[in-house]
Amino acid sequence: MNLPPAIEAQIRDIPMISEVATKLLNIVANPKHSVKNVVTVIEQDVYLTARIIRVANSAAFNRGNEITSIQRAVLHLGESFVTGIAIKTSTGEMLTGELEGYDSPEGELWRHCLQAAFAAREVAKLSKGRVMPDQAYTAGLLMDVGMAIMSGHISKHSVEIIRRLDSGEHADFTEMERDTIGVDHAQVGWELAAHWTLPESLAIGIRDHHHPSRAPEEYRPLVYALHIADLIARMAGFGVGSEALQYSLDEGYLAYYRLDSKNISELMLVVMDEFSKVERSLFS
Amino acid sequence: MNTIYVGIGEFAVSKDPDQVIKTMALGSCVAVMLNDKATKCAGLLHVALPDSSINLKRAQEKPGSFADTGVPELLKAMRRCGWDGKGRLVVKLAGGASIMDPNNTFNIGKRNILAVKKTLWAYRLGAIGEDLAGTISRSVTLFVETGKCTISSPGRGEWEI
Repeated sequence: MNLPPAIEAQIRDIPMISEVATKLLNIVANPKHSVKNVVTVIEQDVYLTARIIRVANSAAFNRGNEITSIQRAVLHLGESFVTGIAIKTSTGEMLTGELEGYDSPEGELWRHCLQAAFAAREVAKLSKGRVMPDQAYTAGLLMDVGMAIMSGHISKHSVEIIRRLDSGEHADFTEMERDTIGVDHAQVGWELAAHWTLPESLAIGIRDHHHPSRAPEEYRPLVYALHIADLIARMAGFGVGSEALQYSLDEGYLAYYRLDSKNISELMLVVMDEFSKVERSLFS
Repeated sequence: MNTIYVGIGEFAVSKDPDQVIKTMALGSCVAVMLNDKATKCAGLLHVALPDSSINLKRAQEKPGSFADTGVPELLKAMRRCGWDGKGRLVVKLAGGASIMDPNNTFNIGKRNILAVKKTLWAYRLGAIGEDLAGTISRSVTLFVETGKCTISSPGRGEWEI
C-alpha cells in the first residue's frame, strides 16, 4: 500500500521520538532486560526523572513514604507505566491533541491509548507466557498513533464518512479510511514507527492490530492481545471519536486466548478501575 | 445551569430545576434516565455490565456498575429524592453499542440492554424513549426540570429522545 504523498511528507517532518523514549521502548521489548537497564536510561533525562518521581509521589500512587530516588520510583510504578510517561512526554501534543477528522476532543486519543494499554497488559497475562505484559502495554499505548496523522487528512471527508458509515457501507472503519484516502491509520502508524525506528514487534503491533491474522506468526500472540485490547477500550467508552465501535473482531484470537463473555467483563472492570486510578496523575 | 457528571458505574438524582445530569462516552454501557413528573425528581445511572455475579464485592461497593444492582439502587435514590414509589416514572435508555462480533462473545452492549430492560420490567417499568445498540458512542444530558433527554455522538450532533 503506497502512502499518499501528503501523508508521507508529514511523517518525514515529525520530530524523532526522544532518544530516552526510544531506548526504553527497545529495552521493554527485550525479554532479557532488567529494571537496572530502565533506571540507567531514565537517569539520562533530568526532566523525565523529575516527572516520574512526581507521579510516584502523587496521591493516586503514594499514601506512605516519600519516594526520592528514580530506582524506587520505577519499582513503585512499574516499568511499563514509566515507559508510558516517557512516551507521553516525548510525543508532546501528538497523542493528546484534538483529532478534528474523527471529531475527537483534546485528550480523547490519549485516554483511549491508556485504556488500551491497560487492557493489553491484562490480556497478555492470559497468554501463558507468550507475551510480556510490559511489552503489550507499551504497544497498546502506541497502536493508534497513526490516527493523530490521519486526522488532518480525513477531516475534509468527515461528513461524508459518517454518512457512509451510518448507511452500513463498510463494516470496519479501516476499510472506510482506505476507501476514502487510500490508506488506513494502522498503516500510517506503521510508517511512523519506521520513521521513529521503533522495535519490530511494536511496529507490527501498530500495523496489524485491526487485522491480526496478517501479522507474522511469531508476533500474533502480541498482535491479537492488542486487537482485543483496542476493542475492550472502545467498549468501555474510550473509542476515539466518530468511528467509536465501528470495527470487526478477528476470531483468530481463539487460537491464542480462551476468552468468554465473563472474562471480557472482568477485563473491562480491571481496565476501568486502573484507568480511573491513574487518569488524574497522568493528565496533570 | 450547573451540571452533575455521572461516571461509569455511578448514578445521581436531583430535583434542582437548575441542574442537568450528564454522562459521557457510553460505548457498550447503558444509561438509564428516570423522571418523576409529580415531584420533578430526575435520576441517571451509567451501567457498565449486565450481571453482578461476576464480582459481588464490587457490586456492594459500586452497585451502579451492574444492571441488576444499579437499577434498584437508582430507584431507591429516586425514593429518597421524593418519588413515592407508585407514581408513573418516565424511563428512557441510551447506549449499549457493540463491535462487529458474529459470535456475540464481545457484545456486552446487547447484554447490557437486555439486562437493564429485564431489571426494569421486574419493577413494571418500561422505556418510552430509547436510543440503543449500533456502533456509535453516546453522551447523555438529562434536564432535571423538564425530564428532557438529549443524546450526542461525535460527528453526529445532538438529538432528543
